[in-house]
Amino acid sequence: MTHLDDGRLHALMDEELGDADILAVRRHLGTCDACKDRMAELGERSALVARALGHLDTAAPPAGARDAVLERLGSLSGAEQADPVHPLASPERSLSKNRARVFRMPLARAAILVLFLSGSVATALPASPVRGWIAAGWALVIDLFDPSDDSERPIGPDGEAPARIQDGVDAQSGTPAGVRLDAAEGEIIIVLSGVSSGTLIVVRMVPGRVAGAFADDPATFRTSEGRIEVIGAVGRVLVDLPQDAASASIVVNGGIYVRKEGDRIDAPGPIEAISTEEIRRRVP
Amino acid sequence: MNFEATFDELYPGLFRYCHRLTGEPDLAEDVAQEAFVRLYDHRVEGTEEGLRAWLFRTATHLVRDGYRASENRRRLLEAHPIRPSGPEPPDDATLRREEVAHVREALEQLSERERELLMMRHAGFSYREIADAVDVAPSSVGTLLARAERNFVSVYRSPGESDDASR
Repeated sequence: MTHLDDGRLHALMDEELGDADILAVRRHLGTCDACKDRMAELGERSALVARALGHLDTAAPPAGARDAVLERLGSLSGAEQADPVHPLASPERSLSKNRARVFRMPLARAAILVLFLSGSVATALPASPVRGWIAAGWALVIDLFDPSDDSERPIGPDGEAPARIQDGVDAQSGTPAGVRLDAAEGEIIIVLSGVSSGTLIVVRMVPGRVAGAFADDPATFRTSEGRIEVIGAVGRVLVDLPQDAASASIVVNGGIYVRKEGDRIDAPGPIEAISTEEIRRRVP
Repeated sequence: MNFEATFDELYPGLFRYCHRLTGEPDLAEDVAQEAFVRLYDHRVEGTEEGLRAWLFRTATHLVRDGYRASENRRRLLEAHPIRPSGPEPPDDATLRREEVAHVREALEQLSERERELLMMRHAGFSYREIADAVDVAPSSVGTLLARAERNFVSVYRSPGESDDASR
């Protein structure tokens, strides 16, 4: 007589067998004492394991866990809303005076493509041509430095035009240590926490789908699926934002600094310096 | 999805699962909270059962990433064990700690996947949900569970008691 294997007996015990299988197994158990005894042994063993695992429940879920999670989520979603001090939100300025001239350019033609748009502006001016460009899904190159049109410049933190980075090369020596992560499933989040005031965040758009974050000591790094964390950065942080990631976010001290969704990039807040290679912002 | 209601409903079970899996309340708290943050971040929607499975699957993956760090700590402790200062009469708390250590020791002898299988089974998940979380075929879960329980019990039971012969 062919006996039932432990897998089928366990599945019967766990009520995981289909109806036809249940009938067949029960029919066999009605005629086979060895399998009936075996089923009882598996049941006792399973009960022993359950009792043993129950001994591990020595800690209760911490009180205040929900508040802690809601606080984390609240700091993330609050940063996505309109920035009240962003100069582009000023009612005295029209959109054209705050925006550099833009060119439409297919993604393949440009090495680095960056769109700067204040989320608050897009919300406040629903009929603006910029929303039309976004809706069309075009990748845009910002030409910031047309010397014949001084009125069309993005605004820096003090109301001045941000500095132009001549060639995108960071003036400080070398690239600090850090980590890279493949945005395998198309989404990546880079979280910078405990960042000291005055730290320079340099965001670089890079080809491909590998994100990276680099910072000098005493910063530490952690990675997990779709996530890079940098803790305690001081001075300077370099972040590589992958061009081919479906979506990517950079969160600094709980606030969204840069968010990429497809070909669109939002960078709410003052910008210190800008080029077609990178965005520079400083932690207040 | 009502996030707060979902949290209140599912967090205690998720924390308990993470604590059983890791043995560390702080790590369990971190992992469970991170899973809920990702649930919100990724805008996951679905039935309560679907959300529960998603959370436990995410937590399982998070623990896998973090567990390698604690594995190093365990090896260090084995190489340099902390010894008590002298013989002490056992009390209830001591006996509980010893029992926990005994269970943990048995779990340590299992593979990562076997631990996850046992934890999810005893957290009430279906074979399909378990299969999805630990990346195995649903039809093999029964066999893998039987094997994991056999391996656990063979270490957990004290010497002198023998488990039944396996088929």
